[in-house]
Amino acid sequence: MTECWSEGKLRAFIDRELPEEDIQRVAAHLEECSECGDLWAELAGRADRVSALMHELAEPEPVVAAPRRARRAGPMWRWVGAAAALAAGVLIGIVALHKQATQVAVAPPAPLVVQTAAGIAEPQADSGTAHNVVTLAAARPAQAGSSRRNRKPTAPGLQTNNPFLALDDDPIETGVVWRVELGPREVPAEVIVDSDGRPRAIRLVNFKPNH
Amino acid sequence: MRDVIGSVQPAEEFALTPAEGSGSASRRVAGARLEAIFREHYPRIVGLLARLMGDRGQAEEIAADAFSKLAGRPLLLQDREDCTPWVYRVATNAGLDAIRSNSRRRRREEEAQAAILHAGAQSDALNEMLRAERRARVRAVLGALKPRDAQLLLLRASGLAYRELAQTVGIQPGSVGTLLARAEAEFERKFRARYGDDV
Repeated sequence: MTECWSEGKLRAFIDRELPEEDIQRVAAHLEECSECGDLWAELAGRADRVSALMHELAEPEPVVAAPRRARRAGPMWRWVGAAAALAAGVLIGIVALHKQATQVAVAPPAPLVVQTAAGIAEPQADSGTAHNVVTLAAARPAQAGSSRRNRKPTAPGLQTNNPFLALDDDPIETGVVWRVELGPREVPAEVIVDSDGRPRAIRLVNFKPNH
Repeated sequence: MRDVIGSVQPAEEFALTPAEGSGSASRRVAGARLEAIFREHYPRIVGLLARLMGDRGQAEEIAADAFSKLAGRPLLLQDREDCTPWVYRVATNAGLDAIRSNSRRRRREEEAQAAILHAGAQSDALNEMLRAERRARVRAVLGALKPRDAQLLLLRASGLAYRELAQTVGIQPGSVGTLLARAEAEFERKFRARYGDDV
């Protein structure tokens, strides 16, 4: 009969934590030694029982688990769908407003008077701004007045709804709005500059000439 | 007074540049080693403690505290073989101390059992109550074991191999089987002594 194995080796044999040749030797010994066979059975049974109890601890805590079970995936997808639809709507609205604003401000160049103050004095313009690079005529195209800025309360001497005045007849497709100040009185204005760096339209911002 | 102050040399003149340099280098090494150990073992320690205590938040607190203590021991950090078992031992001991005197856990378990009784099917509530009771018993017995025995059982239940167990607990790989068998025997003996044969 082969030699008996220690309790520790038998326990490692149960977990298959012995070298392969030792596993073969222990298995062969257990077939011929009832005493070691009994010890192996006792160790294996205890290991199973203790392991089962220890695994009880791995279960989720019921207080935490209960509200999680109540959650479903449905509302999440509905929120995602609603958010996507809202984003698409906002995007379409922005594009439509952009097109409309471009048409309103730029399309009717005829009523607009954009003049260099060096040569032509503007009858209704503030004399203080007359020598500036650009002054505005009083005549403006009728505005739709749908801009949100139109509804803001207007302080005396200020206005918020000047249209952009085209500086040439070419259509403006894209551009960047620059905030500038004109002349020694630093009259605030906005200039649309296209991708070539050419100013295409201008408007005064928050300024109303005193009459 | 002016003379006294005037005779005091600026602090940087006393600085020993070579010693300062080597000190900062060793601090960098210790910091890097601490970070490596933290990355490798923090999740496992939190899992072990959460299993032991049934409270993941508290487990994270204790694990973080153990690493904080390790950070304050630069000499220990110089030897990774020593500091890994050390941080496991500190964390496990703190967890065992906590379950021995954790009134918050007991109160939470009582509240959980009450909540279960008020919600769900009666059979589910009964099963959940029984499981909660078993969990409480296992924790109580673990708290009564020697820290190393409890540590071995918890880590083995977490799936660590013998080689990892030996490295983590700081024992010889060849003695893992023996110590594990003894820990299981002691656990079962204490469990039976407290709760009868219903193991």
